[in-house]
Amino acid sequence: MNKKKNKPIIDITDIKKEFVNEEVVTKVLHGINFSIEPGEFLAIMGPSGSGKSTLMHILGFLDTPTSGTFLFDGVDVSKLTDDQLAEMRNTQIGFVFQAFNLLPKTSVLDNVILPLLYTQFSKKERLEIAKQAIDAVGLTHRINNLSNQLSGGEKQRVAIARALVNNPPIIFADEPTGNLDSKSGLQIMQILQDLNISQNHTIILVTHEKYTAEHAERIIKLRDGKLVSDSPVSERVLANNETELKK
Amino acid sequence: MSKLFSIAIQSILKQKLRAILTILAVSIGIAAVIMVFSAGHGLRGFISSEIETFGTDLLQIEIKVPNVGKTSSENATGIAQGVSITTFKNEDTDAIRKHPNISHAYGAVIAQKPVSYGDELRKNMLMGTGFEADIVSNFSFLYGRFYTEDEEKSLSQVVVLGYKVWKDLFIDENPVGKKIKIDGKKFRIIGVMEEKGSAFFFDMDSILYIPLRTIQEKLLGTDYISYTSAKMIDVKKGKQTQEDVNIIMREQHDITDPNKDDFAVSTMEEAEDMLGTIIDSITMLLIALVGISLLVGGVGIMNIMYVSVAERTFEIGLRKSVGATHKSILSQFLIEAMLITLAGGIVGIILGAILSYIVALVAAAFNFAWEFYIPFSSIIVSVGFSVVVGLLFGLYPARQAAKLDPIEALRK
Ligand SMILES: Nc1ncnc2c1ncn2[C@@H]1O[C@H](COP(=O)(O)OP(=O)(O)OP(=O)(O)O)[C@@H](O)[C@H]1O
Ligand SMILES: [Mg+2]
Repeated sequence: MNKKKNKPIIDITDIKKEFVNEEVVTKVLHGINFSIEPGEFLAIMGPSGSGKSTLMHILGFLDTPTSGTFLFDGVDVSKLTDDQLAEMRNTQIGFVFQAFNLLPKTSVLDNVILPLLYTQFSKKERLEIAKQAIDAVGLTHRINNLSNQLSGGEKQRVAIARALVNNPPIIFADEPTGNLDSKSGLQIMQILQDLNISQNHTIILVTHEKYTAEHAERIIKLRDGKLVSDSPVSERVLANNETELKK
Repeated sequence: MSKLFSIAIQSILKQKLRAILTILAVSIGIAAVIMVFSAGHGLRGFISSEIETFGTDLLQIEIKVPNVGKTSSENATGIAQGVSITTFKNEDTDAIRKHPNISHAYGAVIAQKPVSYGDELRKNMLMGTGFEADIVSNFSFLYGRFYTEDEEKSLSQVVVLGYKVWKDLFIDENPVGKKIKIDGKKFRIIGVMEEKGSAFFFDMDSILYIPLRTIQEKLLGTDYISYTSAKMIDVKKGKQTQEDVNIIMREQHDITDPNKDDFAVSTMEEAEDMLGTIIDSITMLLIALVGISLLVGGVGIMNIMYVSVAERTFEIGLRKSVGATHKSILSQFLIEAMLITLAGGIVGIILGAILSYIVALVAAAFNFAWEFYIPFSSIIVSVGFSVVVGLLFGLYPARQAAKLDPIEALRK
């Protein structure tokens, strides 16, 4: 696994984040430094409350750090305008939320099609692309169901389909297999690994399970808002082989 | 743009109840405004037509308590104390009739006396008028005729029945030549009036007309009158004629100080002006009422819009997180608010038109000359107001939410 040293796509220096709620200050991130190269598959691990989701939101342009610098492809993100940020979220990034964040009382199709509404695709193209994404997560038979009629695992897969639908070069997945049985979880890891290996997408994955994390090339560990370890995976698990084995 | 349209329509359909409530609030406000404007218009037309039944070529000379102390309160006290003016006489009518611009004139008094025919006994309004009343006030007859100058001078006991009086007593029979008793005295019926309807809510058909001198000498034992109506030849000389009649009356009554006038001369045009001001103030009052109802409706729209956007902060956050720009979020909410206020506007205009039409129908059923009409200004005012309120309170919170970081909006 010797990748060429590239210019990093994500480069963060001394990122700090604190939340202020009615005078109460919660310090969550205490100065995080690392960089991610294009095409990397990175797993972030750490105990609950260590700040994994908070960090992901910052990297996904969904939240702003309290201090520190975040360079995206060499550009200082804090200098971007609102519209530029919207453009980045739309074209550069797919985000699988830990809490799914599906639109309530809205069909699977309408949920998945949402990011496409802010692109130049025609109505017909949008429908076609959304159907493909839904098919990729195996939910074609639920395409017209409303989001609140789905099981936890199905919701998770809708969230994944929505993150993939714009074919973004970078995918953030916050515990994407957390609610899934091992077989469905495997399917998801297969999709992510395929995007990474054959299409060279950058994947950043949060997980609690060591085994899931080993599908990545590199694992970062957080504890109490600090980076405590950053190491390559020596023996990467390949989802394709597993399925072969299980069949 | 069409994409944003379909997004907006989808979100409206997802919140049907809310949309219906907003449309309702908008339409009720609009309907209220249209109805008030339309009713104001109808009322104005009705009053002008009432004045026309009296004729605009009339000059009205009435008794008035002299304004001795020049203050109106003393004047009012005078009326309250029951001071009755007995200075207005038949000779005054004769003097007025001599004016070159007056063709006809009659004096009148009103009385109430028992009237009986066969076993029927009733109390009716009697009007004693000069013989020219039929010409001055455009009377037309179902049967017979009006009394003549000779009949008045000779104190004849003749009577002309109002339409309802005739209907009640004779049903369909021609009563001319029959006798009825008024205050115990026999009167010969010489005519029946055609139906006149009411004027200023005063029923003109329940009156019996008797020659002025007859009522004065045989029924009341007085020699004064309460008013004179005079018909002008040239209406354009109305102001001058009015002034001249003032002078004639002062000469008749030996008055030098106009403040001591015991009479008042008015033209129908003046009456119309005065009624115009009354209608204007009624309209102002109604507009104030409408203002209040618009305010209430506006608060309703505002509330629903505000709550709806607040509840949809999550949606705004999610849309932003998948790449919606500030502008596309605002456009979506703008289109939503516009579609809803537009729907409310259309429903409100239809509702307002139907209600105004019903008011016109009811007015027509009561024989009021009432024109059904919807002033365009009412539509502009009401729809404009709703659109402004709807947009303001639909857009302002959406703008606040769209300004947040997506994750902050998602947490709400
Ligand atoms: N808006 C907020 N206001 C205050 N504190 C917050 C806020 N968001 C997160 N936190 C706190 O920040 C800490 C880190 O939260 P975060 O969601 O990043 O943890 P996590 O590592 O993703 O945990 P988990 O594995 O349970 O998902 C937690 O203690 C949480 O309570
Ligand atoms: Mg988390």
